[in-house]
Amino acid sequence: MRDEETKSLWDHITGECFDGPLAGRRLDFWQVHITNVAAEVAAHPDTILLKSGHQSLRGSIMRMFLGKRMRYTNEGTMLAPNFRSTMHQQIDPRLPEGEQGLGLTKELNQGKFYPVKLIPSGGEIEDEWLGRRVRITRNEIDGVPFAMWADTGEAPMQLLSRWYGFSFTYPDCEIYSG
Amino acid sequence: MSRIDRSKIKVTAKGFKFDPFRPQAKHQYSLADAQLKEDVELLAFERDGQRRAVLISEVMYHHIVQGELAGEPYLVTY
Repeated sequence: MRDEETKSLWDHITGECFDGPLAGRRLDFWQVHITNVAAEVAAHPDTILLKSGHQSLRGSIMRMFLGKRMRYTNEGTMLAPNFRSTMHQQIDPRLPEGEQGLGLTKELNQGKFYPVKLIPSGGEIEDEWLGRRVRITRNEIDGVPFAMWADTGEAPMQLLSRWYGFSFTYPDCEIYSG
Repeated sequence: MSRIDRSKIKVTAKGFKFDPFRPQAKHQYSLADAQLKEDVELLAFERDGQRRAVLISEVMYHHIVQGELAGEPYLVTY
């Protein structure tokens, strides 16, 4: 991603500027939750919706094929034919490329990937990462997992991601296996 | 030092620009009253108790949502 003011290049996942006048700078990270209307209204009834009125054609086609299934907790995914050509290296073969998971991250080079299928819907798992206990619960309504440190209740940096995307950004990440 | 190898970056759509969504007051609605189907997918974020959500179907068009919340600028990408 290139900013308009300085033409610097930024990593849109980590917020790191890696080329241009702002190289070396990093944006603060806010948690962004993938969810659906039912789960969001149940947990946060005062949420304000920001609506532009512009829909993507690609999104409409995907909804036609996938119907009411929550795309972001499905196991498989389809990569657009031209998308693969934008990848600069082979996908890490340790997991299927479309495996959906929750990626926990720290700084720019530490990460752990938790496949969604190993977290029971409406349930939770506990694990140890970086010497701390982490608890991951999976919302019963939208099926989306969310992680918190067990000792403080604070949330580590995390993103719901396909394996190919997470492993490109955190190539030496650990994988939770149950 | 960046861990990204600059030599491996490929510019695949030179000159292509997304149309960022820059929300204003006229774009704000109560989600609970918006009469959307329950399974409509969202990206939600908050700052200082103020919570906002955007439709994933719209973010797939814009790719970037850029605004201000609780006095701080934000950029949501997809």
